[in-house]
Amino acid sequence: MNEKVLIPNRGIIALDIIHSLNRIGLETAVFYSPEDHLSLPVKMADYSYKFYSSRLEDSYLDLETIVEKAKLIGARYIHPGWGFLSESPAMARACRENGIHFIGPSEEVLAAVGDKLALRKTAANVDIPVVPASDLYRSPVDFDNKSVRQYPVLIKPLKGLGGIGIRFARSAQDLQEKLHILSTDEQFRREGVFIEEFWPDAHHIEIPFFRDVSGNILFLPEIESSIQRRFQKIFQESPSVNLPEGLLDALYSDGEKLIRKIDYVGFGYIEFLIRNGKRYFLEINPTFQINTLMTEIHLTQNLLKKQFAVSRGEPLHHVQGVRVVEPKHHVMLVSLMAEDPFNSFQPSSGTVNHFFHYSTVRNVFKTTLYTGARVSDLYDPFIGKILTYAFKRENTLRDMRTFLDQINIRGIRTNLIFLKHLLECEQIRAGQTVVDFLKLHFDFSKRVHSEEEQLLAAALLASDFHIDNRRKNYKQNLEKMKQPGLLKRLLRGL
Amino acid sequence: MKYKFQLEKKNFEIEIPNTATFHSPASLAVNKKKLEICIGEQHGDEIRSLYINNRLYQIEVVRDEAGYPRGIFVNDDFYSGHLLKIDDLFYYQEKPRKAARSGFVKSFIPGYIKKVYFKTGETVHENEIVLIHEAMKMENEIRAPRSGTIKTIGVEEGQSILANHLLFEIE
Repeated sequence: MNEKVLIPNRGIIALDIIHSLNRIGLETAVFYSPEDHLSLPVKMADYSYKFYSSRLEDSYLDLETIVEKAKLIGARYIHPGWGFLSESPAMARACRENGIHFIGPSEEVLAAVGDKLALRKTAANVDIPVVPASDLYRSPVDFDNKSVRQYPVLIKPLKGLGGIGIRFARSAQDLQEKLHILSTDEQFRREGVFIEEFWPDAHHIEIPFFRDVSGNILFLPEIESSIQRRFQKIFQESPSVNLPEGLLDALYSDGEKLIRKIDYVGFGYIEFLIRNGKRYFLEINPTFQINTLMTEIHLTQNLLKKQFAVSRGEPLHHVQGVRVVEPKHHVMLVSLMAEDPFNSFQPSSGTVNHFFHYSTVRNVFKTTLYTGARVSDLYDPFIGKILTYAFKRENTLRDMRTFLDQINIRGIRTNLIFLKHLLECEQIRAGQTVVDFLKLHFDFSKRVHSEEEQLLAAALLASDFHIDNRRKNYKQNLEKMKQPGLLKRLLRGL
Repeated sequence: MKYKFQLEKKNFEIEIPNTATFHSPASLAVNKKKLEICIGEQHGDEIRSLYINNRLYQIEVVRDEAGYPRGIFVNDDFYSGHLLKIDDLFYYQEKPRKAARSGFVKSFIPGYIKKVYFKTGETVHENEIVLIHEAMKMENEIRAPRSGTIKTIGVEEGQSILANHLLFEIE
């Protein structure tokens, strides 16, 4: 019998893991909440188990049930994916105590990486420049106005993940108000927040890496993921075009120092902000992310297989000391979200009643959508990722643009049109991808249509109305004809 | 037939021959510019795409309660528009909607109530946060549209709600 892996996750994350693990010949089992009972992971996994509640705390965040079920079904491994419980040291501990192998860094590493302020201190101690941040606050009363030198700032939860709970404050007054709102939040009082300067012109760079038990490190090409909306990455490219010469080596050596210092074993991302040609360490992300697919293109190997091997204590092949993989291709990735760009990006839920796309060799479209799929409003609106790669940056950009053009999704609103216009932006072409890109260079709501486009739209609207009207009239007449006695009345009239 | 539409604050006059069914290409004039239009794909009563001069456009019309168009998605891009006239009859004129100043506050998307800060009978000031409505990982702060006392609260913490659910009423 094959070994079984339990995946307590959903959506595209679960899909990615199921597919990769099936390729290595492992059996997969997923959990699903009642909301997700028709989702693709449930259909693709070898075994599916139901949670009896849609509430997050009783389903994907319910540690006890997950571990108990894993024991019950005889799963040898748990792969947490990303988000939910993936960065929780408690999960790693519970797995270890119950004799289940947790695919990911150890409990100690997760705890060290999860405390973002402590990690920055550790980094500063080994001479790595870090992004300046305030002390930890648990209530707005502790807050000292003088500790913030410049605005705007970000309020970040100490143990937040995936951009959840990050708040933006424009001024001192705004900051005070936001902290007051936060003070009613339980998580805030328990864990606390810190305040970090927000740099609109910085670049966000992450470097994926592997480290095995014997200390060998494999660095993969850097990924630039500056362009974010609501702290969710929407456009990413690799390699970055914004790194001055020599900076990349500095990033690698910094990364090596820090990873060795906290004795990290497994797969992860080390994240930096780049501003005015200088580097500042941000954090380490210990899980898989949306952009693993990009790394897979550079590595030309099954990334999950490697993570699996490293996590089981096997050495990295062909790596002695530190090895850096050179990028051959230029890869881009955009995230497809179920959001309505014409309604201030409100999440959009519903049933997909039409879905079509056409792939080529160098396009990958991974999505949970199919005709008839339901997009739930309970979970995050991330429904797909689109990747293209080519040897040159401009070709990748062009391919991506043409690929987006022929995707057709009906029934829910998606950010597809937003992505299309984003890719046509001149600053993207020029590679000026900065953190505050959407405010500085690309305001979707202020876009205007050309006269020709309006003319066509008017023609389409009128034709649709005309056809609709004719059909209605026809139906009304048909109903009238069916009325009893119509013929008699007509004849009497004659 | 002559239609007059207003699209993004510009007026367009469209002349469609009475007999046109669009099952075969029909020529029509938009602001006296001639175009050929034909149905592409149709699903039940809903037109999903139309050809203009042999180029296919995906469309999706947004309608109001009475069935009149409020706007159109052309290849996912939205154009707001409404009907002004059919032939010489004034048919429909969109009234500008008043801002939600009334005390009723309804949910605009489905979701889940994370937190309620007020109880029935308490006084609330304009722009104060009354409750937090969570949908797809995003927290919406629902603020009071005006000052007053809270007459009813239609939701509880932890409740899942549909769109158009009464959240609270201010008197």
